[in-house]
Amino acid sequence: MPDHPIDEAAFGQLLETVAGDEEFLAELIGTFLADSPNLLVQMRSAIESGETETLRRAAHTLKSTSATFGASRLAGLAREIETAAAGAALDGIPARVEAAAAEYEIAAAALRGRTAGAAST
Amino acid sequence: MTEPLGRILVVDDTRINRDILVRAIAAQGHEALEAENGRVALELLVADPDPAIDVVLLDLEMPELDGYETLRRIKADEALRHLPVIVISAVDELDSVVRCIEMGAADYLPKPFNAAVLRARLSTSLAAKRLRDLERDYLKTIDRQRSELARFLSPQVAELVSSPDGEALLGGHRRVVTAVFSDLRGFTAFAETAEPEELLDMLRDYHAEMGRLVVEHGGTLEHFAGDGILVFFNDPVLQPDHEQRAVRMAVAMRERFEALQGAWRKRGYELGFGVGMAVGHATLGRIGFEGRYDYAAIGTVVIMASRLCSEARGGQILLNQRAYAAVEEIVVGEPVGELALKGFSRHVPAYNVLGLRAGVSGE
Repeated sequence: MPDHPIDEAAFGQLLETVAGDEEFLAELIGTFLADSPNLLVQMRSAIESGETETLRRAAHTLKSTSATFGASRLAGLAREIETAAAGAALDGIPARVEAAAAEYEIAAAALRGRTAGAAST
Repeated sequence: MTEPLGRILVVDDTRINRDILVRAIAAQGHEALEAENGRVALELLVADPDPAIDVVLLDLEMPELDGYETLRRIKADEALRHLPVIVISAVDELDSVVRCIEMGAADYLPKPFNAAVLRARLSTSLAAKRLRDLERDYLKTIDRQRSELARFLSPQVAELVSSPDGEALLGGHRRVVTAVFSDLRGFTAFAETAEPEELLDMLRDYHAEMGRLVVEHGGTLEHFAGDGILVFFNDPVLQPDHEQRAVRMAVAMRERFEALQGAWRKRGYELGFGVGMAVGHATLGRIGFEGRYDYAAIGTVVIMASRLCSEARGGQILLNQRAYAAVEEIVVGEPVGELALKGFSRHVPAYNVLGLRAGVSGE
């Protein structure tokens, strides 16, 4: 499927970087799943309070970590939000944050599936 | 293949990035330390100089102290500035990388991380760090050798040995120098009667005081031989005022001798201090044999200074004509006639220096 939420090449590169340790990779995914919802919460409240710097920083972190796991679409959305926040141009940004939240759920489900696979071996 | 192993400090506020890097670094055989922002990183770097951290992997976006400021502080710190810093950056942030390289960063590591790229970057930076450490160790050794040499040789010669022109100058060269020879009248009789300990004590005091004056005036001490001292000026370091430096030193030595003499006289020893000083060409360089070389001056100017010294009565500073002409304006002197000196077929006109002219400082 060309539009899979997790980019295989990027995910493979991550596994290689941690020396093929699937168990460790599962821990990393656990950290990602634990930390990312907070970033989305921070982004929503930053938009409400107009704290563009907080928004930019949260989007930057989400961009970086999601790219690490090969969640390319999510990383792309986070980058758009980061760039908009840096320019303080927030038109249409609340919708992008909601799109990121939805995409996060898809990526998270795909990553959880991989964790389950790793745990069963 | 022996990969150089090092201590790597990972500085990143994102836990996942730190975890991945620490694991990857450890898997490549290095030791990994971590810090969640620049402030913590600097604390670690300052508190932990030994064994030193070899390479810093530095994220840019961080709370408290960001990567740019951390990099700036590392590069501004004399003790840390040679530490290689690899900046962590996403591919879409290459502007930041350029800025960091301009600030002194060694390299950058793209995000998402790649094991092979990380390995290559670490290996390059570690090799640079090892070279830098080696260079620092060599410099320390050279410094230590130089200060050790300076205890045996005159400081100018010690400096010369480790300078780029050293080999050429040591190899031998001709130059106009001022040679100053001094010794003590009555020393032989003193040496025959004094106890050896007393003799050595007295010589130690004498050498210490005279040696200090040689250094103060920038003279090159060729040698101490018992009570005899040979110093030359204008070599290896060129001194436009070499004749004047020499005569000031000779006058200062005579004054210093008079102070020492008081103490010796109380012990019953009557000694006198004489100086010969001449200006002329000499050949200077390394003289001796494998195992023991000296930096020496050879030429009639040295013999002339030595002969004038032999002719000097206690308290006299005798100069040849060329030396006297060069210092006439700063000294009060008197001609002492034409002297018949051993080894010189013609009589040599000589002058005695009574003192520095009033208003001329002894410096």
